[in-house]
Amino acid sequence: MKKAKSVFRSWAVAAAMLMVLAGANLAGAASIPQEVEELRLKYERLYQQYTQALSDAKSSAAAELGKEVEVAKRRYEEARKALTPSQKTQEKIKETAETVKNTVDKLFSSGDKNETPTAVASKELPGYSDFKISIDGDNYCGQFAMTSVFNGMGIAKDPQKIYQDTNPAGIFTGPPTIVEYLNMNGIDASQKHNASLGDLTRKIDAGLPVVVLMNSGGGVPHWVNVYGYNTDAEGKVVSLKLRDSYWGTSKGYEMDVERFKTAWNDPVGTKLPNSLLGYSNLMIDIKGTREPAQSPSALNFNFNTAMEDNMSSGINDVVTGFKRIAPMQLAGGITKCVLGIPGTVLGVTAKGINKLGDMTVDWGKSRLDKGGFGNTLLGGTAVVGGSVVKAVGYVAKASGNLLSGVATMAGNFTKKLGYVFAR
Amino acid sequence: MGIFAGLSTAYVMGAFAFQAIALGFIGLDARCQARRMLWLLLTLFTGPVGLLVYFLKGRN
Repeated sequence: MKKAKSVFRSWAVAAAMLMVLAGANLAGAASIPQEVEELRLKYERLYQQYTQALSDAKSSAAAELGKEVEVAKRRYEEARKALTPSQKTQEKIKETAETVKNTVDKLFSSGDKNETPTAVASKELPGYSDFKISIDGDNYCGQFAMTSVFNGMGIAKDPQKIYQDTNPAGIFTGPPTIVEYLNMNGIDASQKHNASLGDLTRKIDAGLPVVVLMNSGGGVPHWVNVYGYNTDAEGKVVSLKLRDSYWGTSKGYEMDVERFKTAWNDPVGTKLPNSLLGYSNLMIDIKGTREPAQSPSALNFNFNTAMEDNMSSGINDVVTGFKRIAPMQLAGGITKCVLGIPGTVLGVTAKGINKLGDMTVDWGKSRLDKGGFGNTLLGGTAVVGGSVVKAVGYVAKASGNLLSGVATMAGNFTKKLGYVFAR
Repeated sequence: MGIFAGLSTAYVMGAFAFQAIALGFIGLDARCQARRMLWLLLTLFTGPVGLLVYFLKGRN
């Protein structure tokens, strides 16, 4: 982080000097076209946002803004080269450059009370950051994250082979599919629902990578391999180090912890149909290497998300079994989908009931806040009623998960038979 | 996500439609021998399996 700051500082000072020199060399002009002026203003505005982001400790936002500032500066300089600015504009440029230089000096001066919290300690697993993962051909996040884990743990794997084995149709890869493939290829893995940041850092401290499901934007779920983290002076995690097919394709990427937590907490957003998958803080818990499993485990699901697991793995098995012409995998997927019908109906209904309960409780609380006898009575009744509705929802969800769990076991067992017969 | 979103939506809608038709059928079937409520509950919790058993054992 300090290195990054130093780079930013050097770059910003260099940019300021460039602008001063450029302004001094361009003399005698009568006017400057509007577009150059606009580009300069854009550059200044972006730089202001950039310094603000740095002082707000939003390192990821600052990094992105830094790139934007660089682009804006380049465009401005290209436009300026072809034109000559007026004396007034030259003075403005000089003034801006001085402002930039002063801001940068102020921001990075030692002992500054508003200094951005910097990462003082860094934990990183070796072999992940710079490992080249070929994404020629088809590139999907789950397969990319798995490749990163395999190679980081010393198991050579081709991402295209993983892709062909697990997701030849290029659809979302469900957590059970990831867990199953890891287990069958020498990595001991399981699902952990509602995991905490502490769970994640403890794994990395133990020398094990983690795969998490995040929101890549707009409620699109995205698999990411986490292989390290940075902490501040108090030992608080400030950013995480990722390899994935979106942010960290060619090398490791550092994401601000707050941004990470938001994207991890709600990987599918609130909009249908993605919100049907109720995953939250999902972590593929890697426990180390193991003897490759000879066939899929019948118990490959998490009870808390059994409905989602059954639906996602059922669809994965049907599509992959069909594409790969694997009859028992196809049969397993169909079994999950058919037997999973009552669990899915109950689970989805339970989500609706829970939402209704939440809305009723919220409405009741807003009434209670208004005060007065009528509002208190009405609000209190709504809060109690909403809580009862939510309890019903939880029972329905648990029932749905139980039924879906049975369907998943039946489907996985069917798929398992394919491996038994193949021997 | 690819076609996953579409497939999951279709699946959920299909599941609801199936359950609605199955439960509606058992609830209104004139050939139901007895214990209609039991058959309805069985189908609610086991879906196609309950419906199949009902066809084999629950009708005149």
